[in-house]
Amino acid sequence: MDLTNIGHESWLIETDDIAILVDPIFAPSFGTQAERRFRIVPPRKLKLSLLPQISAVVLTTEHIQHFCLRSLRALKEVQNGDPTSVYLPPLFPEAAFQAIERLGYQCIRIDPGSSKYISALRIRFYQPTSDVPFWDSRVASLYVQYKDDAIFIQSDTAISGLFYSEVRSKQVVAPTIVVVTNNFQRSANGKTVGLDNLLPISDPKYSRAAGLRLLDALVAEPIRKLGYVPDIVIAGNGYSAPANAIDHIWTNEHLAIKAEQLSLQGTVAAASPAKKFSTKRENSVSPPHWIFQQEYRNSEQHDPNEYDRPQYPGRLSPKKIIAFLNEMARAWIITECGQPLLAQHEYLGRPIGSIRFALCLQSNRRWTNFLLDISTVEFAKSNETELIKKIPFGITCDYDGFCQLLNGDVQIWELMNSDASQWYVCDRYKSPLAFMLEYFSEHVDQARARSFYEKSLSVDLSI
Amino acid sequence: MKATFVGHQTWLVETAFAKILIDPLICPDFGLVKKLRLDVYPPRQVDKDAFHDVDLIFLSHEHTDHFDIKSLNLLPRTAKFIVGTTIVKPVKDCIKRLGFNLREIQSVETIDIKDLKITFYPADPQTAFWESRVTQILLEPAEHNDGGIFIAVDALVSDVFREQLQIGVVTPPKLMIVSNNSRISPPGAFQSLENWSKNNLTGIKKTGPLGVQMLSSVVTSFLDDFPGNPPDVAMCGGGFIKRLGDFAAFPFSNQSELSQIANSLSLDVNVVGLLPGQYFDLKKINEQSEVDWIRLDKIQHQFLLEELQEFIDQKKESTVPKSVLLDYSKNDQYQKGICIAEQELSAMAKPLLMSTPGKLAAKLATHNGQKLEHSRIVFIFRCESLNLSQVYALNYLTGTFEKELEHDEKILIKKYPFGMNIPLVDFVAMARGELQIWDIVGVSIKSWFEGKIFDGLVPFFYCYYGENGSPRLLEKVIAQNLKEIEGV
Repeated sequence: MDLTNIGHESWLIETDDIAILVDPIFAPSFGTQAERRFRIVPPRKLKLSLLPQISAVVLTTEHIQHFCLRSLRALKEVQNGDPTSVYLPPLFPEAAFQAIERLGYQCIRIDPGSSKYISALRIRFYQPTSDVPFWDSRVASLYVQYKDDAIFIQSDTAISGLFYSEVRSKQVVAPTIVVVTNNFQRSANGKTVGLDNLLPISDPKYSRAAGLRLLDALVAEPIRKLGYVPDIVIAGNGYSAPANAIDHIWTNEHLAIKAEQLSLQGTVAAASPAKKFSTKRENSVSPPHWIFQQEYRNSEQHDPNEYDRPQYPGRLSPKKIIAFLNEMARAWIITECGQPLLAQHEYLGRPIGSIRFALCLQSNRRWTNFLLDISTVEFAKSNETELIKKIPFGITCDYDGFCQLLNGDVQIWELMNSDASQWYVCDRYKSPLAFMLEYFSEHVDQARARSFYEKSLSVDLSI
Repeated sequence: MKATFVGHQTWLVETAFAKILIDPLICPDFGLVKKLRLDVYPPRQVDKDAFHDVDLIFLSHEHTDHFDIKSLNLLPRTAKFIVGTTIVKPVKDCIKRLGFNLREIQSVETIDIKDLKITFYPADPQTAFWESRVTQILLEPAEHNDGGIFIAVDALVSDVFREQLQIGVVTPPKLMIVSNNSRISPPGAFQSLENWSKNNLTGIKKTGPLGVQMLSSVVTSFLDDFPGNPPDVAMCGGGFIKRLGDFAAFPFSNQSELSQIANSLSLDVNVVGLLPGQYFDLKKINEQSEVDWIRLDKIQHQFLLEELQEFIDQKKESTVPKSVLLDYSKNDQYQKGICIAEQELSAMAKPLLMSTPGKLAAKLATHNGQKLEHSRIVFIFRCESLNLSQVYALNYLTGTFEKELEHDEKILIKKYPFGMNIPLVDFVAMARGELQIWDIVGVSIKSWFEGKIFDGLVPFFYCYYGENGSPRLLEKVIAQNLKEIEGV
């Protein structure tokens, strides 16, 4: 079997007979909006007409870095109606399922613990068995077997303990290639994105030789758990955020080199577009003739905030925002992410009252703030300033960006990696944006998911 | 300093000059819904005149077994009144409306009342959500402080207080007052968090030395935090009865008997279990005496104890009532109820998916050895009087509730890992703020779940429909109480 990286975590798997695509993204960037595009890096151009005949598509998750309806539509067009089947993890959301079927595919969810065959190719999903953040809990890693060969591709979630035990007990053929995913990133350019904190508090994520622990988790831990040494391919982090807001601090290349330096017989490589790996180690692999590497131009990334965006036609009044926030508050306060709001009694050395969270929305340098009172579990508008000095939890965001989120025009993941920042005094996975990642996830809020699936088909990210 | 046990979790702490009343239940019963008030156990009469000169009333939190409006209304408005700042607003508003001068405690804070120094602590953040707004209280002599009383009811002992103990900035208290909230049900009976899929009312889980672990954890869980000699420990709680069939008192709720057992197993810690009216004097620890303003109803107490013993000895079984409120008798009442239930479910779907049972259900691959369907949580709304029911299941692919055609509880228990069977009339009343979740759990609700005891749908309801998650519902219940009081 040959495994070709198409960019970020998109893959082509080929055998002598057939070829399948995993999480295909074809355009130079992904996202639901042209003004907030996430560019694939290193950049590459695809000549889809030269793509081998594809028998099926496999998706490991509905997350935006893996699931691109525009690419699925383009595939149908370029292959004259083929392929017909898309294989999905067991709890793949129905809204996404239906959006794919509307493109003319037949969707097939694979039950936990069972396999599907695409001619002689066996595919199997493994969902995490350990505790992972809510938004990664239904993501599945992929196992592919053909004759005596197998490949394992970790998706954006923890590798299942079940996978390791099935390999060790020889219930499945041990993979010769294991793709592991490096999702380690931090905020760049003085911005605060992702789950990072505006407060200058030391974060355990970045302390105690974080890169070394990362490399151990990526490379050494799977080997320990498998009990043998496969070829390890480090993938992930193959995109940049609007305004280069994300710093992929330890690149796959860097990690692979360090791993090699710490190896006795090198078997660790980094994925990048057009790179091809073979399960037959002795085979010399010819590079794909349909993927062209491009020069990376930093200037292509512009800051959405630097431009005077026209006023968003879907702008919501503060009253409507409060109505929405109050509904959200009732869910927030009783989840694990709400617990830190209740448990915090002091902030910056001072006792605090019952206001525990501030949502600060900015439009033309004017702020509109909404404060959550935990004694009523309701929000109210406020004109107070310098809230970060008074209230222990908060989110700052572009006013229109937040309205776009509420209207189902943008996904929370995109927003928090472009316009939204937060401050908090708790674990990052219980922070306000971590809560919103759950609350606005495709599984919890399928109405919004349906809305951005529909709208995303008309977005043009082809350049 | 002396602490008089008034019943359940109500205490009066007195010094030479100061009188502090904590979580006052002074009526024979308590509750925010008139028809559903629970009797305090052991039964007693309290003379309210004993409180005419109380300096301070302190409310640890908002639950009805601490916050009883009818009791508060009998107390002098001259007393100062203190609650923690996180207490939900309807409770604060109610206290003010009753005419008390309310002060909120922001965080860890110390005040002086005559010869008493009082410090307030927030409960440990690991405490269950529905008890997370509890404030704990340390009462010490203002001068010559050789240790006072710490009251840690209904929550884990404050982490701030434990840390202060360990680094020596606080004088270790002589007496720790803790809650025994076990409320274990006898064989043949069920309890609030009963798991009906594993339910075997007479099975092994209901028999055997169940009190051992309970007593050991109530008495010892916090002792490691005391650097020097351990304090005396007083147990309270579980001091009410929910009449279910042929018994009322809970096993292992007789604190006086439990304390004797604990003391026979301890070389250093002195465990105190008082009956209402008895007090504990820090200066004379071996003397327990009684006040004259609380009268224990010894005959009724004895009767309740015998009734419980008879239930156990004769292997009786209690049954689940049709409903707590009077059931619907007309079809259109039922149909209206179903409409409300559907609206509630539609709003509940998101928080439920993100809750502990919601996440657990997503993780499961099989159930009872069978492949699990995409719908994993089910609600049965029953109306036994009309012999009608409606069933809804939460579909994990769509994140919405859908009608389930199967209505047989036994089959649904086999098919779904999480479920609840609840009388429609009770559910609707809870969702409209006419009664509280506490009024119906352990009575008319049956639920089943996977995982640990707090992982089911009933604890989710405690969060979602309880005072902390839905202050608006509490507001409605309180408004009804105030109307009744002010109407008199």
